[in-house]
Amino acid sequence: MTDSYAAYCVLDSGGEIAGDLAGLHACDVWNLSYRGMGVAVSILTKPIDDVVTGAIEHEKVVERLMQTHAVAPMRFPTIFGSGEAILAMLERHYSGFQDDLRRLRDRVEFGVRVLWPASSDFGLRTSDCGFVSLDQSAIRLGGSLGSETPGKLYMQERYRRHKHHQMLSDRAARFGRKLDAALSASAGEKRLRGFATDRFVFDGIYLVDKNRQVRFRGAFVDARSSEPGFRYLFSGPWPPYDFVTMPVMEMAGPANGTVVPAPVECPGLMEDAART
Amino acid sequence: MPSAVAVNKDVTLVELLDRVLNKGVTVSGDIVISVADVDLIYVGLRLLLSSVETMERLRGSVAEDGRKEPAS
Amino acid sequence: MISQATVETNSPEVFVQELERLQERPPQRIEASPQNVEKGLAKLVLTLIELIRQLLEKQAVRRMEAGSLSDDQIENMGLTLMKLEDKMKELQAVFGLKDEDLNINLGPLGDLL
Repeated sequence: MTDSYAAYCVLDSGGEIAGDLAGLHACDVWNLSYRGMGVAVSILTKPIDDVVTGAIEHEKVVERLMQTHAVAPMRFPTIFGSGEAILAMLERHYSGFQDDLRRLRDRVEFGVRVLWPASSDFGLRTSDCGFVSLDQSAIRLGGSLGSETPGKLYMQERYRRHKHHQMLSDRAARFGRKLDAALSASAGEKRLRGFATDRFVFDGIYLVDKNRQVRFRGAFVDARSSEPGFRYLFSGPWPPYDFVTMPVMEMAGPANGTVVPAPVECPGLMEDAART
Repeated sequence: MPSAVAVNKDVTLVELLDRVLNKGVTVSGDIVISVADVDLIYVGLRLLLSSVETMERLRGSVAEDGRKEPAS
Repeated sequence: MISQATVETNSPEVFVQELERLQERPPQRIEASPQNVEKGLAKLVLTLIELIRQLLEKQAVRRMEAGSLSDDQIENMGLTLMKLEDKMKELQAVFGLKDEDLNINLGPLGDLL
């Protein structure tokens, strides 16, 4: 097979990368640069077959480079067919990459995810999360609760469901606004993401100055203690993967994916029985 | 309330993979339309649903006899 | 050590579960290739119909809540929506499409952006 250029990130330097940095498959990491800006790459001679190991190796390179450079990270795997393709990309989109580097310099990413409390599971019960029994609101329908006609029964059931949905939505919105307000004060850019599964209440990523990390975490800890019961996850600091604006994957073109199988589900971390 | 500082390797790994891995843009409620294995169109159903809701809220709905109902 | 990042959580197992659910979920693809264009298009059409059905239902509930519907209207609306739902299930069966295939479960919080 022809060589593949596995790219890690864009960096703000045309200089050499320290020789003791090992990348994918323990390959060397090189800097392909153009006018003082470069892409860190390894030249692969065999396919990547272990996605998990590769992702960890990729991350290690990005983190190491972030210690000494401004970095716009690329996801894994990002494969180019040639060095020329990389240089052409840098040349054509030079100012776009410069903008990214400027925005991301000395900044890290934190993720904050929150799930509904274990007891809620969309049941109808009062709890410290402020859910209210729906039977009272059903009375508002202004008719007898025990109506037998099928159409009305159907509508009542739908009504119940929608009210419940609405309550959850409102609760989640209030929760999210409060949490986001607390975190935003110590962060710059942010991305509030939609709910990937129905257990999520909040899913936000924040771009934080390196020297404000402690403050940011403090804000999270305070916010968490003001809303106990929920299930929280706080992760970071990460390289700012989610705040890169240049669509490198599209630019990598057809070579991308030819070395590695197209994105597939990861091997499960839990044993097979745990899969639903 | 006490929280476990997870130097829990599993959860760190899933967070890493969730962030670093290249995957499609899709999440639940979205569709990708592809022709001959080339992804061409991305339909964000959630976005669609939400936009319609926003429109409704802004406009209010019109009752059968032409009366305007208040926006919900 | 995997990374310099750390993860703090009061529920590691649940989050691992949820995040794995995210990764296992393949992107919903409509394949419009000659061999299976019918099924792909059916999927698309039924998903959009289901979307509309949900919007109709939501609107009906709103009208009910606002008190602007008579008992008869509520009854008829309910019967119609029931029929619509039954028809959807029939069509799904015809094309061999399950609820998950149509992304029907947008989740109870699906309309919250």
